[in-house]
Order: sequence, then structure tokens, then C-alpha cells
Amino acid sequence: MIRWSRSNGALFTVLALAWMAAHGSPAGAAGAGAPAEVKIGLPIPLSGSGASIGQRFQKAATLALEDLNKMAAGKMVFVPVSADSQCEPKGAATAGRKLILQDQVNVMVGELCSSATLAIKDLAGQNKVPLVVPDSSALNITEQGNPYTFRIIPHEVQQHTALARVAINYYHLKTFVVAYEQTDAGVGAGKSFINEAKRLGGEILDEIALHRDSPDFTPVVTKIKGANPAALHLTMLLDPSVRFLKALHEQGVAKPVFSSIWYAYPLFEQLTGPASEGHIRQLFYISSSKDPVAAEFTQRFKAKFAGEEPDFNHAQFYAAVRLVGEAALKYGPSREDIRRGVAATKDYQSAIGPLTFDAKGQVRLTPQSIIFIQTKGGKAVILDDEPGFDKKKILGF
Amino acid sequence: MDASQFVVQVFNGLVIGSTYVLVALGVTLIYGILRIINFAHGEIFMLGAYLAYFLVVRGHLNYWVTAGLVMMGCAILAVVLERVAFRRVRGFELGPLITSIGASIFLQNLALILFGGDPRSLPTPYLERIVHLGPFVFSIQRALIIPSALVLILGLYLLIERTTMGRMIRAVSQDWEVASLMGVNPIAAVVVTFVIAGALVAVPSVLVAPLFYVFPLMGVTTTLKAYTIVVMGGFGNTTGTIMAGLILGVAESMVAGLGASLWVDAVSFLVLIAFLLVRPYGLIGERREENA
Repeated sequence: MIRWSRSNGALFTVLALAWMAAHGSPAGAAGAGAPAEVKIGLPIPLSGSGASIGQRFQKAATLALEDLNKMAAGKMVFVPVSADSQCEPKGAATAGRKLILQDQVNVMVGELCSSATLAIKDLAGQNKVPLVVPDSSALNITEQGNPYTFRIIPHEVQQHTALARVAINYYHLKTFVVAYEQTDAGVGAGKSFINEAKRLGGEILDEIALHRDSPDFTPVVTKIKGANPAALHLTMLLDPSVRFLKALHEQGVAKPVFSSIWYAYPLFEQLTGPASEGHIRQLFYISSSKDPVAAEFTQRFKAKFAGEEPDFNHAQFYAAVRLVGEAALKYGPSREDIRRGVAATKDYQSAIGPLTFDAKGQVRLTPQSIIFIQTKGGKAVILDDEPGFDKKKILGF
Repeated sequence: MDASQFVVQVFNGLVIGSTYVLVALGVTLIYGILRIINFAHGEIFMLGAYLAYFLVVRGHLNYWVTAGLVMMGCAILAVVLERVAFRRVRGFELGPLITSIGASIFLQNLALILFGGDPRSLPTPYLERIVHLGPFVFSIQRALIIPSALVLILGLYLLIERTTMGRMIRAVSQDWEVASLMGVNPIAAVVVTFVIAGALVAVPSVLVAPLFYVFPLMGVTTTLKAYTIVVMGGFGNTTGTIMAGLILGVAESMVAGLGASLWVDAVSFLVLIAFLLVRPYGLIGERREENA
């Protein structure tokens, strides 16, 4: 039998105080005069293949929350609540459920991988929690129309249609091998490129679905070499793409490779080395951008993180967190207030261009939203700045 | 696939297979003596690659000096792992298996915290030297893998079969108690086995990392294949492991070369299931009868 002694009582008191200190008051139960607490749930990959990007998201969130708390001036307190969503549906659903039901967050910003975002999206909709997606491109994240889901970057069809137009209308290339990872985003990207390339008179010599965990892509590259295309279109996460491009380079396949937004500059160039030469991709932010909002973000990020160069992952996540925070400041801290605020966003000036959402929660695409770059001598050359690169004419919008 | 592509794909497969073999040999050696599957073996592979990265990039050391130091570092790490994760739980049925899984997860996350999630590129002087030999195009870096594997396999064979230390390991592997009654120090045999396994896995760390990159989860896929090979080759059977590794590497290369890249893992595990059904004791292993 346990006897209740004075030392037990003291221990209980210490534990109770520690628990209260750790947990604070329940969400939304702030005392009179206390600032309203806005919990921003961050379902992001902190382990697994997306962990490096998850760490970038955390840095961007730190800076955005610092700015928001300054802007709130004591009226609101923005608090981040992270959960490891692992860049896959099961982990994402668990993280989303924890954030919504246990942590009672007011709004969520995440995930990275489309399959994971799709797993969280319905959960957010059912529980009426706004979800702002900073970095997933699968079409059906917004296409079905969910009043609680908003995406701040162009979706896969917009991205890869634009890329096909650059390949054919600007570089005048006609034959392609299209390789993509077998995920929602990978398949969607590959098919979007194929559809547009065919529509513009291009020929697809081979279409290859890849497993991103494959330890060596040399056998696939040997097959591509046999097909002898004028160019390749590749959609895979950064890590396997580096392996893929190194194998291409080693096998002497010096063809232009077109990719979407998945490779940060200059990390991609540093990892891939000479194998990145000539690579063409699109981004929504680059640290050398002269756009004043983007330049200000670059300068602030570098000041905060000891000169570290931000990349598009940082910029997109920063923009998403700032957007939800500013919606809370303007419309109120409840889930419904934030949803209304984000939905009403019009020409919000961010480091990734102006943000306006359509009725489905998808950001409107403008030529200013996309930056095309080509790697030359290990550096990014912004094609938009090149003479003869008439973006509006090439893209047709 | 024409004839020249077929030959190139066989070569590609032998390179992949040699990498698997170098990782799998350590797993099978440890199983042979301790009857445990070391799930943390891949993390020694990963930490070896990080060590190589820091020695080359930060320490500006010569690539081959680095390779030697990484072999020593991985050997020490393997011994520490044996001391911390395995020695105290030896004899418990599932204890070593669970501690090895725990050690694997711990080391992955430790690397994530210490080095961050960003992949890192390990430079070598051999990656940009490309050889064109008929239909074969490969870098010197890739070409180094097969001869390195052959040298290490031969060295391992001589060590196990022709030295007193090797006899000691074989004796403990066959019967721990009888070997100790005959004057063999089984703990010393275990430590030597971990030293060999650690040094062996350092070689693919240094050779393969420049072809890809270094990151905290790099050991996971490779070791998963290593376990497959160990089962196919017969637990504890080094010759079977070598043959199984090369067969699996070539099979994977052929499947990917035919455009069925997504089926590579499925084919690997189908081969594994076929082996388990037809030769559950391994490729060249012998059927073991359990004593009544």
C-alpha cells in the first residue's frame, strides 16, 4: 500500500507546477487582458527523405513568427506547434490529427510532399481548420475545391505546362524522355509536361516511372542513352535527382534536363557539381532576385541566420506563415476568421510574387510568379534577364 | 535491349552488386558468430561516409589516406556498438535484435541532429575521369568498386581461412562453448569480427558516397538489400553472400534497363521469396538439422 507522506505531497506539488508550466493554459482560454494565442500548426517532415527541407521550413517559420509577434504588438501571440509528418500519407495523417485534435491549432501550414498534403487536407476540411500549402504541387490538392485549403504556388499542370512551353517555344527542342518518381506529384508533373509537349508538336521517346529510393540510376540512364532524346524532363526530390544527374553525367549524356521547382539554388549545384551544367528549372524565388520584397526577405534571412543564403523552400514557407498570421491580425484569431482572411487575400506582396487565390484556393498564376533559371558554370543564370527571353510570349499568358 | 546494352547492364549490375556485397559481408560475419542480425550496420556505413566527408572537405586530406582513416574509424565504431548494444543482451532471444534496431534509429537521428538533413557531396579526384571503352562509359570512381570488392573479399578469405585469428572466429562461430573450453577467447573473437565488419563497410562508404552524396538515411536502403542478400546467400555464409549480391545486382540492373525501374524492389523480394521457398538454407548453404 502506498502511504501518503509529506515528501509525496511535495513531489506531487512540484510535478503539478511543472506540468502547468509546461502546458500553460488551454488554447483560447486566455485570461482577461491577456493576448490571444494563435497556434500555427506546422505538419512538416522532420525525419525521412524530406527532413532537410523540414529543417528549412522550421527556420523560415522562426523568422516569420518573430516578424508576426512584432507586428501583433502584444495583441496576439503567435506560437508554432510542429509535428513530424514524414513526407508520406500515414505520418502526415497522424501529425495532422495531433495538431488539430490534441494541440487545437488555429491554422496549419504544411506539408511538403503532395501525397502527405492530400492526407492532411481532408482532415483539415472536416475539422474546419484552414490549411495553407507552401510547397506541394499535385493538382487535386486544390482542384476538388475545399474551402479550408489554400496553395500559394502554381500547381503541377501550371508548372510543367510552362516548362514544356519554354523547352519547345524558346529552346526549339522536339524529342524528350520524361522520367518521374512514382508519387502523386511526380506522375502529375510528368503527365502535364507530356500533354503540353505533344500539343506543341513534341515527341515523347520514352516515359519512365522511377522509384526515388533506388540506390543507383545507372541502368535507367543506359536505357535513356539508347533512346537519344534532344532533352529530358525529370521530376524527383532533390536527393534522388542528384544521383540521377550524376549518373547521366558519368554516362556522357550531355542533354538539357528540364525540372520543376524541387531543387534549391545553390544547394543543387553544389551537390551535383559539373552534372548540373545546362540544367533548366523554374523557381518562385531566388536569392539574387531584384524584386524589392524578395530582396528584403533575403537580407532579413541572412541577418537572422549568420549569412546563410535562403532558398525557395525558406521563401515559400515564410510567405505562407506570414500570410496566415497577417490574416489573423486583420480578421481575428479563430479558425473561421483566419480562413476568411486568407480567402480574401488579394495581391498580397510576398517574396514569391503577388498572391491572390481563386475560388478553389489556388493561387493565381502570373508570369511574375515564375522565374526560369539555367545552370551555367555552377551559377544560376536567370533566363528572364536574357535578351530574347520574352516570357509572356513564350508562356502565352 | 541490344547485345552491347546487355553487356553494359551486366557491368552496371556487377558494380551495384559489389556494393551490396561489401555491406552484406559485415552483416553475415556478425550473424555467423553471434547469430544476430545487426540492423545498425547501415548506420556505420553512413557515419563512415560522414567521416570521409569531414576528412576530405574540412581536413583537406588525401582521398586514400581518408579511406584508411575511415576504415579505422568504422572499426572502432563497430566495436563500441558491440560493447554498448550487444554484449549485455547476448543470450536473450530478441534482445540483440531490438537493441540493434534501437541503435540504428538512434544513430540516424543523431546524424540528423549533428549534421543536419542537407545532403553533402564528397569530392574525389576520380569522379570526373571518365573512361570510354567500347560500349562502356564509366568513371574511375565507379570502376574502383569492383576491384576493391575483389581485393577485400580475397583478403577476408585469407584472414578467415588461413590465420589463427580466422580459426578462432570460425571456432566460436561453430560452437561458442566448446571453443571457449578449448582455450579460445570468444569475446576477443567477437570484437575482431566487429572490427572486420566495420572496416569492410567503410570501403563502400568511401567509394560510393562520391557517386551519390552523404545524408543521414543513406544506410537504410543499402542495408535492406544487404539483409536480402544475406538471406539468399545463407546466414553466415560468406561465399553465398558474395554470389547472392552479384546475382541481385545484375537482376536489378536488367529490370531497370528494361524500363521497369519501379519493379526493381519487387523483383528483388520475389527472388528472395523464391529462395526462401526453394533453398531456405541459402544459395550454397547446407540444410541444418535441428538437434532433438
